[in-house]
Amino acid sequence: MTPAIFILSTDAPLPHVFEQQAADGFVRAVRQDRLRDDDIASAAALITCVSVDQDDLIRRSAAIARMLDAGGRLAINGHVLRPYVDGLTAFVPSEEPRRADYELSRLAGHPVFDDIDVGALATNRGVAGFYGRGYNPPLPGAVALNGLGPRQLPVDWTWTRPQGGALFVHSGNDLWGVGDDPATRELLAERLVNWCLRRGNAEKAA
Amino acid sequence: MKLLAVNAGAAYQIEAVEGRYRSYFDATIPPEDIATTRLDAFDAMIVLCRTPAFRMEPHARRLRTYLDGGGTVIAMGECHSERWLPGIRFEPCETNFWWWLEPGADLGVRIAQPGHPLFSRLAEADITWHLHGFFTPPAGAEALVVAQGNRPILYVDEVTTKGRMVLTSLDPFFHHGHHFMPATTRFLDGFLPWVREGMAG
Repeated sequence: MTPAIFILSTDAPLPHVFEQQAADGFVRAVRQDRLRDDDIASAAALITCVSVDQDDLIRRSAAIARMLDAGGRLAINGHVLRPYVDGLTAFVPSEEPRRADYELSRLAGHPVFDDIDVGALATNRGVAGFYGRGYNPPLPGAVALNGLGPRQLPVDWTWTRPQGGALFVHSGNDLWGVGDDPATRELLAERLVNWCLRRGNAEKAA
Repeated sequence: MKLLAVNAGAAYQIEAVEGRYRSYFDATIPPEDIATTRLDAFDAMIVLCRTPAFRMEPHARRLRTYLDGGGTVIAMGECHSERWLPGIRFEPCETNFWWWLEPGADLGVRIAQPGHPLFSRLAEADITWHLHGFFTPPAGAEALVVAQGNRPILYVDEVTTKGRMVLTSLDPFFHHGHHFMPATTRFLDGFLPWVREGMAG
């Protein structure tokens, strides 16, 4: 199976929660400056972290489109500020957020979050705000998965691209670092990879 | 003072140079363009928090030439400046993100030179959020902020090169650019005007 490419955008190595996935051949970590357009276009999927160089991605948007055209998947973490996929628009930060604005609620089922108490993901050591502090605006036709605060702002969503491929968008700190439970973090990482590769319970869900 | 920003393209860096602080920067380039940019057209360059060292290391020699020509390089936190600037000794530390949860807790960050012009703009609360590591500056360098027993976390070095280096392990652009932690915005509100006005010491 062609692995998902985890784009390394800092000096840090692949997050340890992905080590087993990498050992099993499901994930390959590639430093962003060494990633060729052909690597992107031929990838099964890409996983980005909050530090991804978006000025670089926008220059490679044609290669990303080719990957999606071929049915590839893109898992985005963090704040989108460049439209490296057609239709993406800039992150909308919450204005003067209060504690209640960080509460999370499930809006739709999805294999990445199934059976996980998303309410427990909203805090780290009782402190809220890591999960999300605003949202990347969903594209038309996207399915909102989790909502932030009383207005249920779409902090997580998926989108099946009409021309092919799909996006999973988490508009906050890297998904594998949220909440306090290490087992849940590992589970989220594993499921994100499964979704990217259409494996297991993520086989069909966009 | 003409200021060049090195922006590695992360959301928090883009937000920093295109948002609230955009008027402070005369130009913005990615690290790779250091090789082709006339650095001496700028009085100072600032490398934003969390710029990957692997993108700065190829330019170490050019940065040294710029410094020896009288330029100023400001290297912010979490960008491993010890790997691409001369004379830096840095010891990272494990970051306690939760110190403030304990009532009355003190991270131990202190202003080392209260009479320094930078601190007419910044109070102790504006330099206190996290610790990422400590420097051992060379003799003759000036420590401006210290933490946990007089260990420098922000200093000015005018002795290692013919120019000036401002080094810190504080990472305000990261948090400000992530819309997180008001102290970091207050820090930049004071720090960037000080830089822009020539870094009076």
